[in-house]
Amino acid sequence: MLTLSIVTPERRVVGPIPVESVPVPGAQGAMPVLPGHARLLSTVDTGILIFEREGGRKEIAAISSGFVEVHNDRVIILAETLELSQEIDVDRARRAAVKAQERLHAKEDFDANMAKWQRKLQRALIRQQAAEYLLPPH
Amino acid sequence: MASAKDLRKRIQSVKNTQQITKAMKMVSAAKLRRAQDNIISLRPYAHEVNAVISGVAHAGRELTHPLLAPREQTEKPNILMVLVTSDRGLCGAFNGSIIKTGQRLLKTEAEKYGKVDFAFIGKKGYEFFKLRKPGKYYSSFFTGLTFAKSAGLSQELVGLYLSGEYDEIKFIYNEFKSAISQKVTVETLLPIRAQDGAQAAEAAITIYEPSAPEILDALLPKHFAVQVHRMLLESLAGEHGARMAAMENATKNAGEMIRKITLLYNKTRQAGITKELLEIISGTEAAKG
Repeated sequence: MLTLSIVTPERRVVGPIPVESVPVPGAQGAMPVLPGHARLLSTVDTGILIFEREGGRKEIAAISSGFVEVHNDRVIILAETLELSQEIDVDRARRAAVKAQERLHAKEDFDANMAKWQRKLQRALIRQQAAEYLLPPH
Repeated sequence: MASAKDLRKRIQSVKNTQQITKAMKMVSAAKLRRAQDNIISLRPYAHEVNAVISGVAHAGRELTHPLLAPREQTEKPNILMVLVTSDRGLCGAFNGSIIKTGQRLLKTEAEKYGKVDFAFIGKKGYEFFKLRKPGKYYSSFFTGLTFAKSAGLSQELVGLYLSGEYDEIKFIYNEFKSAISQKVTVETLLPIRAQDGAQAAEAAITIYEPSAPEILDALLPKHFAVQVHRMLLESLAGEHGARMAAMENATKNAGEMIRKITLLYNKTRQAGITKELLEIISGTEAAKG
């Protein structure tokens, strides 16, 4: 068994809880972390994180700019922002995505803010996805 | 001597003031609790970031990073001092002690450093130094203070440091000791002091993704942001604590004042009654003839 904890600067999202595996959106693609994993330190990409609370309730979260440390079957995820699917304002995410897309298509500030708007678009899409995510059947 | 009516008016006015100070004290107490909760909820994150950094530092290899190592000793390094005060007053010596420390450092550090600059968070410090020693002002920082806000500020400071404009960045702020005591603290934030290597160095083989330097590159600014955020939260909690204590004092003083004026009022009233009685009695005595 793994012990998972997720913390952000504003709160502890999940205390150390036992889980069987954690699918982490790592720096080089998604990777499932299983018990007995080698010691690892990786950055976490903008992505969706699914985990199970004690009692079996599944949680879906949109996560961005964070780290994951795996050590002695302890998985610690440090995220600067993390929103649980039920907390996400879908309309806002949708609006942000549309705005970012418009900006990317507009020619003017092509170089200067390209990367910024691309990141924004990605985050907005991920949040939208997390909010509307349908749980796969067990 | 003031008439009874004047005294009544004064009592009422002090009572009104007392009501305001009492209300402010209550508000500060509530805000203090929230600010304290914020500090507490930052702790696990700060703790884990620290643990991860020292893990990286102990992973067996020398890691160098521009934010870590002190600069090559230049003759006269440049320093930026960030003064953290509050936006509002009525909080006792909270801002005064920061300002005093700032003035003292300005004098003492002038020889050691080439350029000493100030930056301000909080209106009170900015307003005091506006004409004496102006510097960059980060306005209304404390209304809706979030980690994102602190992270933005810390990014800017890291930029100033990396560009070589400053060789050192210090924060002068009120450390939150307890609800009634704050301590002026001067802390060097950049360069980040490398952790003490004395702790058991685990030479475990760690996989770094994408790579150790890149992780450190992302992690150290985060560590810095956490520190900045913590200091701002402490200052905010301290401000509410100081205001609570100041208002508590003011409420007590108002009570004392009311007691004194009431005493005076009663005496005046008594004297008035006695005088009237005397007049009536002497009047009837005269009428008897």
